[in-house]
Amino acid sequence: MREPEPDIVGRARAGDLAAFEELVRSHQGDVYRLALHLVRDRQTAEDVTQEAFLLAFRSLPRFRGGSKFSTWLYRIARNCAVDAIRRRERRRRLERTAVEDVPGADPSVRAALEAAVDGLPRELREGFVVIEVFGLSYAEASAVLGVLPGTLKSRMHRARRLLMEALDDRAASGEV
Amino acid sequence: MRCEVAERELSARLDDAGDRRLDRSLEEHVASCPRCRAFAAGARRLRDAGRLRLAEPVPDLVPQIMAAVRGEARARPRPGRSIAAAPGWTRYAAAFVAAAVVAAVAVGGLDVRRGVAPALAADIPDRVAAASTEVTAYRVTFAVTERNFHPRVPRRTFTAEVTFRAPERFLAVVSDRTTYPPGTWPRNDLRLAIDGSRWLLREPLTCPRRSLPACLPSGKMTRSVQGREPFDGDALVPTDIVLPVRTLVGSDRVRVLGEGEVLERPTVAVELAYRDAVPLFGFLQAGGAWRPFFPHDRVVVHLDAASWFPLAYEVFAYPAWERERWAAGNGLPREPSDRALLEVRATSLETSSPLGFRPVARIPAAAVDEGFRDAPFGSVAADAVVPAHLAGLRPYRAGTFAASGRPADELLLSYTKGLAWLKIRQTRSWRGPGLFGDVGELAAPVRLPGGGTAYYEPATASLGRRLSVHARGLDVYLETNLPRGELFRVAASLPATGVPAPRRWLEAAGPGGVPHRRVDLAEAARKLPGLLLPSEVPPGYRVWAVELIGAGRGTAVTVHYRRPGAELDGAGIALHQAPVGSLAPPLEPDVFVVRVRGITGRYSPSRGQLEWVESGTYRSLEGTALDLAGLLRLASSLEPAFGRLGP
Repeated sequence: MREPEPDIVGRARAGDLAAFEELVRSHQGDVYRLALHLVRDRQTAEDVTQEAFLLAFRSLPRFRGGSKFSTWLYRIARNCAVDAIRRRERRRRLERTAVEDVPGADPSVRAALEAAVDGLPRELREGFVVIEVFGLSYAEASAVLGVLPGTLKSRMHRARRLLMEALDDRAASGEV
Repeated sequence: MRCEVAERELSARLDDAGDRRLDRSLEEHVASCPRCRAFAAGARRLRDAGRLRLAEPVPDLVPQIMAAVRGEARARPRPGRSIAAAPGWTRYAAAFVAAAVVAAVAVGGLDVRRGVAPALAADIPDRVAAASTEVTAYRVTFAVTERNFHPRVPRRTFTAEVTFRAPERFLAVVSDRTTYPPGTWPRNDLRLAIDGSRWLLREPLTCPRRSLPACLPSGKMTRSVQGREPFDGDALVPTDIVLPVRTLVGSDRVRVLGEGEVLERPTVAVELAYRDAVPLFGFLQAGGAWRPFFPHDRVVVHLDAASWFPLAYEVFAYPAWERERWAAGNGLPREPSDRALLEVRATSLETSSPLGFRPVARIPAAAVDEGFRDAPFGSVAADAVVPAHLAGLRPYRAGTFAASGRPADELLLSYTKGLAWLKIRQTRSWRGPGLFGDVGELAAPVRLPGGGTAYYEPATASLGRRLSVHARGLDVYLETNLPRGELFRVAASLPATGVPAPRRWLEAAGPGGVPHRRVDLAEAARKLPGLLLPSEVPPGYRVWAVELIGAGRGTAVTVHYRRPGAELDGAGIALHQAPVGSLAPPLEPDVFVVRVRGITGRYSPSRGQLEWVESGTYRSLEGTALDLAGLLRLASSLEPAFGRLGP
């Protein structure tokens, strides 16, 4: 969890493109990974990343420092990702194309876990991703996702339970 | 405590979000509950597996994000002023300029600040030429984004790493980073390696099996060449990506847009047509499969203001209806003129290359032998005539040719410094037909400083500036990327004086053995009574040559118009007329029907050719420098020649 110098955020807010580029450079990895976890394909994740930064650039003058910059940015990214998922699902209903697997994962627990995370309902998945994978606090995740911390606590529990069950099922059927 | 509550609390504790007040009751519950202990262990395993995901490779999206952001940051320009009232060519030129300026400012590409000293435009070729002798090594990585390759692959991304060591060691590795949809899509990974006499290209087999089941299943093929002559035009070192010496020599075709910044270096943005910028794409398009571009598409190049390295360039659609027709014929979607169809951005740049950089380690046995044989420079030079003035270049490779169909005594000497090069071929046994060397029948006779005649042709996309000198008992061919004046000074310093070439060499040089004869316009009008000539030609053009082709009743006439000082003008504009009553089958697949002078004709964008039959005579106007509007305008100005030239 990197937090930029307040000075850089301030300069970017004032329209300094070099400062904004600095923010893009330091945060593109996290935004991209968050997007990838939510949308599950690289091309869309790249598009979401770009869209998120563009939106961030547009909204920066309204960012008052009430939360951490990264939290604010993740919230934008998450909203872009949700939009992208909705667009894709609409399209998929029309086209019935296959979901792309993210290649490169090794065929182990990790791959099984990824598949299981994919299988989670979206509300559980996004909470699990920002907290478990990104290490956001419940307060931060609450700001990013727009849900109360107590709800998150329940969702994390349900997500973990479902994931363990999914992995156990796979192990039982000899897939892992 | 119920298991449900305990598990939720255990889960929250993993995330440092536990409720301290529940410490004691939780401990008590877990101590006696195997199910909750199993949950805690399982949740920890999930965490360990999940942590790995942070190693996911992340693409560098900074260039494209910042391009979008800059597009956003930039105020939209006001609409250009009306150009409807401007007459003639000015109007045509103004339309082009207006479209270009609006697009250049409004594009989603790199930021361009307007207002560069106008003198700079004229200076660029000289500055690039001066810089070219200083570049000895270079290493750059480009991020490349290509749009509309295929309806199912709307965006492809690549990285391209280019390493260069002067004069002829070059390696370009293009890696396809695209996520393709399911199915057989050949990854467009390329490797172009050149090392003096050796040239090697590895590329994918580009036929997709889905549409061509007979396509070979293996994914790669390699083409290789040995015995390559220095600075060979056919297997060129695509050094314009290092320094756009070829691209920018046609300075009158380059417009300066303004200043910008790439890689934190100040840049100068220039704009030119795709057909003029082709050498910039040589390192990418040496092989593989790429989307097509329209010859008039606009290329904006961001040149490092200090070194003149191109740090970024983008291609935009040319806004014209014929381009839309062409796009539809090529299976491309509608392409707005303000969105980059290809973006190439440097992401790192070094002016060094690794020690011992050898791009071609081994050449396959199946390599094509082009027949050049290197020999020690001194021994070749001892048998040759050598110019006294070498424009500061130093000896490089020299040798002879083992290929058949060439004079047995032909020698080659080459000189170089940085990216600047000069090669000299010579023979004492040239008997024609045609001038010695890679000059065509339209080479212009020029007077060298200090006397002597030579035949000059400007640079093309694959050949440098060329000069053929015919002296008594000796023919010399010089080719270079040095400025023209420098080439003439080198030729003038040869210990031999050029004389006019035999007339029959020039006349018998036509293709296919059809007799060609250079005549004047009056004679051409007598031989072809229906001859039409333009009343107005585009600025700078004048009649360069008039040819009679064939003999007797079938005699055809070609009038060539060129701009005398121009480089990279292709063949200029050719007006061809023949006493044939119908159009031949088209030479290109991209032709479509247009109205010319109220008659149904056809247009080929790739050839820049307009063809129609009028009054029983075939007419063709060909010139890639003109777009369709320009060609139609020129066609509409045609009028009978006899009225102006007399009987």
